[in-house]
Amino acid sequence: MKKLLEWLGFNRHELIKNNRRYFKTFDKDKPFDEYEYVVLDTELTGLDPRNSEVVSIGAVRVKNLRIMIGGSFFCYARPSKPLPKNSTLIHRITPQQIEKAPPLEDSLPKFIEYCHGAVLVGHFLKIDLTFLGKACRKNFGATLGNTWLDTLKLSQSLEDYKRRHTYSDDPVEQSFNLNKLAIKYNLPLFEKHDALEDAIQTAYLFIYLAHKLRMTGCVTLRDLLISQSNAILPSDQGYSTA
Amino acid sequence: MAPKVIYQFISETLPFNRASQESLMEFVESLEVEYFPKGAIIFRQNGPVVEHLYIIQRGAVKVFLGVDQDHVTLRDLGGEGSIFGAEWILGSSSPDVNVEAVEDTFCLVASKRVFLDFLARNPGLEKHFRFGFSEDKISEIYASLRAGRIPVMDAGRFDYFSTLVSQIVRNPAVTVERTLSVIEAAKLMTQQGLGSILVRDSSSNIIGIVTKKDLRAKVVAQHLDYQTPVDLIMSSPVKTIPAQAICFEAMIKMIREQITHLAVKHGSEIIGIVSAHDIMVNQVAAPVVLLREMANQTDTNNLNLFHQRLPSIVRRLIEQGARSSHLLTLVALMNDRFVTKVMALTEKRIGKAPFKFTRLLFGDSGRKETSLFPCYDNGLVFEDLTDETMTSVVFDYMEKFACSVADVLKSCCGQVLKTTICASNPRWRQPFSVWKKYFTEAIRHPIPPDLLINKRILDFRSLFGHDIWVQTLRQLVSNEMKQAAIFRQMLASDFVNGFSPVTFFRDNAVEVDGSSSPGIDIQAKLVEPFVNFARLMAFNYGITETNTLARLRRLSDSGIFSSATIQDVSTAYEFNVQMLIMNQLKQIEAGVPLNNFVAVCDLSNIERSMLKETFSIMNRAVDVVRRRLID
Repeated sequence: MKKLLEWLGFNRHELIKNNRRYFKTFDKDKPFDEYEYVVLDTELTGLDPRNSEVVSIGAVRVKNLRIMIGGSFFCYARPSKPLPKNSTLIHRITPQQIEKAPPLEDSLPKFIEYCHGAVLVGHFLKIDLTFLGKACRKNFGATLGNTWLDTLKLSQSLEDYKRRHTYSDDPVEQSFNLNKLAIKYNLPLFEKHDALEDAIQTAYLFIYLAHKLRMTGCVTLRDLLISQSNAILPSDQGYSTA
Repeated sequence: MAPKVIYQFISETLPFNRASQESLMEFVESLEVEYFPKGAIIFRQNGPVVEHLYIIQRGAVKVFLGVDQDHVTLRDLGGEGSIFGAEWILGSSSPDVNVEAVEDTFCLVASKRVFLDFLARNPGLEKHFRFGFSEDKISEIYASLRAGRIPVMDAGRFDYFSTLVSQIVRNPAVTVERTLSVIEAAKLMTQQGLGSILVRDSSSNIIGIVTKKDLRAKVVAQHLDYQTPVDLIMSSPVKTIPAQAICFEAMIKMIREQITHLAVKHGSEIIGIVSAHDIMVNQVAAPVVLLREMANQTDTNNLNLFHQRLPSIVRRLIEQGARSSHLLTLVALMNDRFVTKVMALTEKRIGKAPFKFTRLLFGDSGRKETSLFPCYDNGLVFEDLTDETMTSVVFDYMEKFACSVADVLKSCCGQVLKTTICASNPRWRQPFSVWKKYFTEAIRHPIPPDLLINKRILDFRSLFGHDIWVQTLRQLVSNEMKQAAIFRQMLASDFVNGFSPVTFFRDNAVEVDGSSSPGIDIQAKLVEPFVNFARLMAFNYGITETNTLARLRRLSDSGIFSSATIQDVSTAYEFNVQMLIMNQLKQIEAGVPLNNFVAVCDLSNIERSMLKETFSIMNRAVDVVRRRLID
């Protein structure tokens, strides 16, 4: 019954309603540099959506294809269960750091507001969206409606293009790990496994890819969306968000 | 909340590293990041008024003039940490050059408002973004040069360059009547522990000074009657130094005047005496000590102590904040003493010449700009022979003298010595009439391959012997130069064509034609152009000084150039000489083969930025020469 009500749009928080309304009629055919983007990254207690939770969110806005260093978004979120030790090893967030942090549901409204009107961007964004979506649905009755781009797919698309248009003997790129891509494209490097630093690293990758994909003929946001949907992901990635 | 990586990058970038932490944090928070693919134009020459400041975080750009790709002039290359747009924002102007990404480039971008707010909160930083030098900026650059270029040893507490003479004067000067006997004077000095006393006349005017040395040399050693009045043994007049002078100036005056005591004057009143000893007790490596030791040598075999000890003296002075103009003055003065000593000992060994002669110094020595790799270009001039029977005596003596001196200098200086013109070559030891011909010919009929030699011999002065010809030669050069339009034109073209600025890109020096190398010859690229410019202008405007800074000063004093322009040129020249000396010192201390090359990778950002400015100043000088003397 609850699910049916959700499906029908009852129980939805005003923020989510606005969000979904905005993106229902979202025009995707303007040049992609005219949009605003929110590049985000989350740190999690694990990768299992049923048992794991978000412990921090970092995000930064991109406007006119420029990263706005100030006005970034960052929060810690106290999970309902104690932090598994192995997760601390990855994101280096200690139990003490999140002890006094508010639970995710307290920070989510600010984050949803922060994302308003922006195309979401992330590296292997599916994982972040799964967890954020779960939290949004639980607390506000529905997932975010934002249009989104995945830099992993966009980089795959760029590599596909390069392979099709050059006679390079370079081996096919097998790793689309964020850090490895940053090194490959000679981007400034940021600290790994920190939600904000990873979000900024992703933002650098995004503006780089956007410019490069423009050279492949992408003009509008829709072109980027098509480009990412056509990307063929390598079968064995062992993806990680960082 | 700004990422640590960006904050750290900005806080290590000159001049942001000097900003207050709070303002820097806010500045970083306001930055944006923009990406320029290779080939993108960031600024267009004469394009719109600049509204943003760009700091290269990753990648590289080239700065060039010209709108048409076939006719562009490379002005600069910028890598990580280079800043563009500041001077145009400050001048509310359009860019006067093009800036293009030559690699995929990420820039940190600050809007005009953010940049101006930042400057308003850090008022000391604006000068870094404007062209030209300020005293603060120069001090910082010298400090950085000192810190980066020579490894720190023991930094002495005493500072030649900030300690005032008045600070080391211990007691008020003691004065005595001129009629006092030497025995009474000696008693007084012993009782009060004085090294010297001043002698006054009946109207209390100071008329002389008596030192311990005077008592020793003039009284005891000569069995003088102890009742002799002091005014018979005193040195007069008393040499004075203002109380506000720095100890370095006192030391230079003592060396120059060959004295050990100076009366310290405050206004018209003498407030005390400062002695070489007072300065030396604070300073183990004092130049005075070395000169005294050298003066005591009776054999040329031990004179190599001069070049062994000179670097440590220079190091100490650099550590204490000496700038190259101080260093050049001192090193030239000490070299003069050293060479004079070599000649005096040679003369003692081979006998005194039965005729008059003097040694001419050319090039670096002629300009009193000897560095740690001395260039002892020299010649010998002697009186014209009227008595034919003397011919072989004079020529034989001159040959013997010149070759002995050259041998001693060579053995003392080892690999640091570089000499192009030397009196050991018969061409360069000639009677006065031949030298007159040399100078006349050098100016009237300049032949391009000889231009280098001509330039060197025209920077001349004399040392040792009978200084009776130099003034005449100088007058002759000055008169010849007035009519020598061709020679001046040749010098001008030589200067303009010989100057090729470089810019720095990553760890390479890049020439205007795009060729690059990992090292830069400081002497050829950074010092000689300034020397050539000062000489060229001095010859054109009838200035007879030979020293580069003195020539520049005269150009400013006589209104030929604005004082601001000369200030910039002099500052740039001094900085480059400082780099040269520090590089030489570093090589001597490391015991590596000596040359004047500095590796670009060893240059700090502040040094690179300073060098770029010195090239840009020289570029303006070249434009002036083109306009005034060539076109």
